[in-house]
Amino acid sequence: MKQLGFHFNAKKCLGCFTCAMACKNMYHQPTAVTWRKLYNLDDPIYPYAFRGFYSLACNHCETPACLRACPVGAYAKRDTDGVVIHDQNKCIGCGNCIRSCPFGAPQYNEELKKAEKCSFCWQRLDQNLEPACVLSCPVNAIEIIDVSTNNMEPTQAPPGIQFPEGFPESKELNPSIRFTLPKTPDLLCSGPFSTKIAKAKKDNS
Amino acid sequence: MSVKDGLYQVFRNVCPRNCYDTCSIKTYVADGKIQFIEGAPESSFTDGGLCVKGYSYIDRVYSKDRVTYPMRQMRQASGKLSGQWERVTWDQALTTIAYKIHEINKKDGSLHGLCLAIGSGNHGITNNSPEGMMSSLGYTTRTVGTPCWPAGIDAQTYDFGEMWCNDPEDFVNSKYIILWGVNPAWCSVHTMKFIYTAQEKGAKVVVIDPVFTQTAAKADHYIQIKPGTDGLLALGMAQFMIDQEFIDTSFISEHTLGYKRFNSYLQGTINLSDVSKTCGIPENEIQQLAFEFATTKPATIWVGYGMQRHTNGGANVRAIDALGALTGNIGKSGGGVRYGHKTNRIFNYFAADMSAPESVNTLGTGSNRAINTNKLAQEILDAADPPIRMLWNTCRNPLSQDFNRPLLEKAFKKLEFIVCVDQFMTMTAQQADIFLPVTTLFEEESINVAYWHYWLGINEKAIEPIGECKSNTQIAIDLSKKMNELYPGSCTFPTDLSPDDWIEKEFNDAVYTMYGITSWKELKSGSKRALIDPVAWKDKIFDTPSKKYEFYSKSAKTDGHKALPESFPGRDSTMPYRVLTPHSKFAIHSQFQNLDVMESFNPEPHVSIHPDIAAEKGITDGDWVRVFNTQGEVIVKSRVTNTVSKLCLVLYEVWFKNHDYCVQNLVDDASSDMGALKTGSLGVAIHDQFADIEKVSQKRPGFPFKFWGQS
Amino acid sequence: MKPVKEIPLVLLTIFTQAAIGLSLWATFFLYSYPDGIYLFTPVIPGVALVILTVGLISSVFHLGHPLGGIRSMGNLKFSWLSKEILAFGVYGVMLVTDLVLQLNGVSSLPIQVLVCLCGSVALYTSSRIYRNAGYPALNNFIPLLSFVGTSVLLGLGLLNMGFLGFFVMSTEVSAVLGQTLFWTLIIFTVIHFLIPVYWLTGNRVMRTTSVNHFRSILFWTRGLLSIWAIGLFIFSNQNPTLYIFWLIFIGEVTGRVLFFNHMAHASENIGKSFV
Repeated sequence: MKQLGFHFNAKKCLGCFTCAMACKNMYHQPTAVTWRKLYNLDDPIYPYAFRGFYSLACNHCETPACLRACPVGAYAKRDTDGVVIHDQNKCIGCGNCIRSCPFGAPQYNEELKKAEKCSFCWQRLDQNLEPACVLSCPVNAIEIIDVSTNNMEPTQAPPGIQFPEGFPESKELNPSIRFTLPKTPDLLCSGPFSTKIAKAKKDNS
Repeated sequence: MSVKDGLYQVFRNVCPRNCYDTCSIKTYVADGKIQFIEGAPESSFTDGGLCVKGYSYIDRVYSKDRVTYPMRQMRQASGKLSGQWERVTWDQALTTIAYKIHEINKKDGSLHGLCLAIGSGNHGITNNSPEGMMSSLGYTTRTVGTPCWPAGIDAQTYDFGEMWCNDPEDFVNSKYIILWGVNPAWCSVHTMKFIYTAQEKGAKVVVIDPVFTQTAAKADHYIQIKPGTDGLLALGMAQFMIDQEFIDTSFISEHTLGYKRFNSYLQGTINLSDVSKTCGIPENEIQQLAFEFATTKPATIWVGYGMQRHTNGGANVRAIDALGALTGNIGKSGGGVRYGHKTNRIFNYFAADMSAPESVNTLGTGSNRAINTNKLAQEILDAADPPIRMLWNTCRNPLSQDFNRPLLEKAFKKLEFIVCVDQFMTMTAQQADIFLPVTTLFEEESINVAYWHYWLGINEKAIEPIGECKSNTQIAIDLSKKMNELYPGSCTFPTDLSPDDWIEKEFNDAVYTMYGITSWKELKSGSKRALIDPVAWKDKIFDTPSKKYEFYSKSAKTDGHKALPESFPGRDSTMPYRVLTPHSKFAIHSQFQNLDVMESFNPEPHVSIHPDIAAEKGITDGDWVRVFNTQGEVIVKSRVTNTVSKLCLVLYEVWFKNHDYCVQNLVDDASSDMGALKTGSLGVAIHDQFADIEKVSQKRPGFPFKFWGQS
Repeated sequence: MKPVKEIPLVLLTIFTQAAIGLSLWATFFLYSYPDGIYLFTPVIPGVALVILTVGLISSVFHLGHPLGGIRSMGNLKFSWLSKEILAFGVYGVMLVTDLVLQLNGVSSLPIQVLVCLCGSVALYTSSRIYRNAGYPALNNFIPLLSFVGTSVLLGLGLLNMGFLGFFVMSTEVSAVLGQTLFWTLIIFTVIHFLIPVYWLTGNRVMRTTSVNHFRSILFWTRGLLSIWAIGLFIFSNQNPTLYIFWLIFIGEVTGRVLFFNHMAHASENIGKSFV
């Protein structure tokens, strides 16, 4: 069955917050609510502070914790593409989905006294338009993939790691997200520079 | 949010900020309100996406902090501003202003007491109207120059005859890219995709920067250079290239001037081990870099604006330009030394170009008085006969962004009357007598081009002005009406043109030809790219006196510079650490960071310090510290990070509405070496600033237990 | 989560668990010592029903839309919260049944066992709600352990109060009850201190939760209250006074506030190593 998800390319991601702001531009959530968030990667994961990021929203899991936690059935998973939708008309604001999702996707809207989360811009999807975040990314670090056709194996690297370091390993939920890991620059020249070799290389080229 | 069901009216806008990217915007309006905006897909540069700042525009337009009616601040009997603001009508505000202008004219017999301080806050071409408004009143005082990029412009002018560079979309053809002192991952996010494409096609990307920037994190190699030694590194590379015969001799002999002199200077003066020591880069890395750059074709360098904001900044750029010429990478697709360009600045500038009223002309008082915009504080204090009495401030926030803030505060006290045209109660607006609320890009008509990419876009009025806001042009029109009502014949600014007329009058055949259009109205269906070759200097005929690339520039010598791109040391350090005040990713100068939504992403300012400095000073991450020098201080929280070098303290120059934070307390107005040739004033050595740091309070070991835990 | 927002949930869990504990212990003692207790029997399901109702009513105030509580059995297939509402409903109905029968002079063991069974199931559903992927520190036996602890302690404590004379115990029964309370208290006090130690052996989120606990005033308050209660027991010749009951009650409330406010959520750790 078709299952849409995000491929987040941390190698490309600039940590520029454009995706998060593009989401707010589209849906005007209250200031404290952000459907898409940027997470700064800590030292053991990326060795330079505030230079490596994960940009995450809802992972539209195969077995969504939110859908299972919600007592009023406000969550639904679309048959057509596996997108997990939260129906705010049904929501009673119990907060159970917020507690249950290990990825922090559902958030509490203090103004509406209800939960809400990333919708994968399903209304836009249905009109063949890209989700706001995907469209906004200046370097295409967020892409839509169909994880069911498995052009990206969960363990295959690169691209497409499902549970990189710094991301909750909730296997039973099977989040529909794949990552490409960030990289660091190398040393330009590790040993002494050899003019001879350089000359030979130049002559050969 | 569906787009196709005709719920929205779609308008064309262009982001008018002082930014490389100058994005084309599609604005979706329903019920007279902007519902959302998108990057315009027609522009292959913007390519459907904006940036974090662009996408915050809705919050800016409808911000609860926005001032949407004119206000007046009362002065105490002593002349001091009272801090008491009251709402006034436009008529009251303009009448007060008109009285003051008239009073100055009467007292001084000229309007030199009226100074226009216009900055880069809105680059829309019709936003030159404040200049026109001043000219239409008579001869006033004008701030001349720019703090942005002048030293580099002059450097490129000496070398190439003009600042001009390849289209950024041409990065994809490069095989070797040096990003030298530039951080596009923050300051030109839309260029990154072209750099990535080059990388995917096998190009190597090297970042040279004193800070491990976000761009450095995306590069193949990163070289941490000591600030201000960029020119010396380039000369070291040049010397090594020549020595090892990695140069393009045919390009040099056919298209350059003064190679022999340059070479003899290099061989006589430049010593790689000294270069290595001064720049703080191992010799083998310099050799490898020079080798790779010289032997990978085509190779290109993007010269950032930061590295020319030094007392030797122009010389630094000239030395880097020379690398492009030595390797024959000039005039090539995927090559070039890229800095910026002004090839598309061919509009009529009608809004700026007004003539003084006849009454003034017949008096023959002559011309405008020019003051150096980069030394605004000192110039205001020094101006005499007549002194500067009144400041008209628009598109600018000097008390946040101009240099030597303590001196500027003093200078502002000397002014009798300040008009501030803005959207928010900025640091400058707080010191004004009259606040005039100005429209955002969505509430006015304009035209925009970039100094980086080659796209031209129209900026339509998408919504009615919020509250009583007026565009700069409308303010000029209304002031003109008021002046002529009170003092007939005192202002020539045209009052009868429609918004379309103002656009129409900026266009000419040259523009139409460049963009392949017959009417500016064609831009309503999307931005257009200039129909010029993406490669600068393709014919290798340069605009220098010799028509060649000039290693040896007589013009430079005439202007008092070295004829060759010689290196000389930058400003001496007076304090232990260098202060760098680069751009934040959340703001452009004092714009955007003040919005609630941006504050939620980036809540407070910080100073980045290297772990070694932190250890030495007993500072831990998050401690309150005082960064200080003889000019002033900034008290801010520390962020201990390995992304800055041991030599530097990094503070991002932004305006937080909820923090008393201004980096200009630490930055003085020392000039850079060049800039006067093309912009009228020398640039500023923004990055040749020094300070010390200390922990402000002995942080008490906090109560080790919490009651509620995390929340 | 703002602390104050979870007060309804604190009351819900504490009160419902106390009611269940009361049902369990009362049934146990009534049938183990049929001669040692003199009782106006309807008082047991009556008191349990009152406490349960208070708990359930307070729970709706944690909802953003309290009136929507009426729909909260909408996802019985998956949601433990829906199941919890159903289970408490059934438990409540059973209590009413028991109460009505007893008021009519019928004391039916099967009904009372059924009450206990329904109560236990409800307690289990309650504990399952917090066993979720969002809280690695709780995604195990700990919520159940914690809830059983509250239930056992408060149930015993309530039984001990005698309900203003409706309930009189023989010295023997009183001693057994006192002993049971004493040792139960010791066991759950030890568990209280052991749980954060157990979390220290887990992943980073569990360790953070552990540190949150050790650094929390609430954690130490609850521990001290329990030790205080144990001390009083010892010095009062193991006579479970009302004073001790209140110490235990406040201790449980403190512990529950701790439970709701000091759990590190997995998402707080994103971008940091989870190992």
